[in-house]
Amino acid sequence: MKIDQGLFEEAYETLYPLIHKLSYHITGDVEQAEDLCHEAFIKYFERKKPLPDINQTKYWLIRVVKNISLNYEKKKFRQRKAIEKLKRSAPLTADSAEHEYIKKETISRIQRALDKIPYRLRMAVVLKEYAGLNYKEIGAILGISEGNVKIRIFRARQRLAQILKEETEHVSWR
Amino acid sequence: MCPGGETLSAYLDNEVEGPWKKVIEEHLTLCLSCKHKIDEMIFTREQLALESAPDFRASQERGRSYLAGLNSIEQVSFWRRRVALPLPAAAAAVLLLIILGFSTLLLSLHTDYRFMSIRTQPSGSSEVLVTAPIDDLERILKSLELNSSRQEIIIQLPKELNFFVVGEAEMFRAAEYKRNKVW
Ligand SMILES: [Zn+2]
Repeated sequence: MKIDQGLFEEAYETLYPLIHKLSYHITGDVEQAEDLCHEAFIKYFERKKPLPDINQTKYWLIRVVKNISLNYEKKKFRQRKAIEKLKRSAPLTADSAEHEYIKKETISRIQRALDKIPYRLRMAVVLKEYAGLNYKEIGAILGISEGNVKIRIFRARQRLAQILKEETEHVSWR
Repeated sequence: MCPGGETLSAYLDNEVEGPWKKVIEEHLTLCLSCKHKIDEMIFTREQLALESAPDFRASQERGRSYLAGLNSIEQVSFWRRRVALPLPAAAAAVLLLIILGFSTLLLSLHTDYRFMSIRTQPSGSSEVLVTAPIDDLERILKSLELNSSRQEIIIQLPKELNFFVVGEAEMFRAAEYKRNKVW
């Protein structure tokens, strides 16, 4: 048995904005967010058993995003390493430096700050701030205790505040 | 005594239970240091809240059209899809590898293929190699069907065979899209 078409349509309509938003804040990249988001819905589409309601579907999709995004994160980490290595061996040309600059400018400072904090902290704080979930729900999705959620969110806030503060100081110095 | 940063953060998220909530509330009216800490957290939270994600609508549309394509493919059952795949139209040779429990059984079958050899395996069973033109495939299969009790058949197609996609080109294309992620 396949998921009913109407049910799928409803989920796609109502949940796409949220899943897209979460995917973006987790990956910090528009293209990756789209890929991640589509992948999650394809997984839902291919599910054999329908989920009881839209809320359950929402949790299920968020969990899928969490699972897939870990692969993205690993890939990003490897790419960053490779880029750093490349930069060390060949200094940036004017062109690529400009490209880097433009890319950085188009991503907001908040998203850049989110990108800088560790994945596990980012995941927790994104689910709190952008999905509006409570600690219990976040714990269930991430497979950790509520106490752990509390710690991760606090640390994420601490790091974010630090990064944003440093940035402001840096800007005012110039 | 001041509550820890984690507790203040949880308080901000409304995750602190009844009596403790009261205690923290009171403490915040008295302690400047904690008030400052929580104000900083509120400020960070507000900044995050102001941050908007890029528009999702174009992305949603792209996903929708992709899924629509996927849906039409899903409706073709696996079984039908298999049968619908065309056998190579190009004339080519087929190598039939037949392992029989009893070689005699095979010998009573069609033995008029020129390129046939029988080898005895260490296990005692016989391996019969038949090289046959593809036109004869149907006949071979038919004769095997009649004696299908204890046979293992491996059909090996020559490596240089070219397959022409006759039907269901869409399916291949869709699979290609999925692999390349160009949607
Ligand atoms: Zn205090």
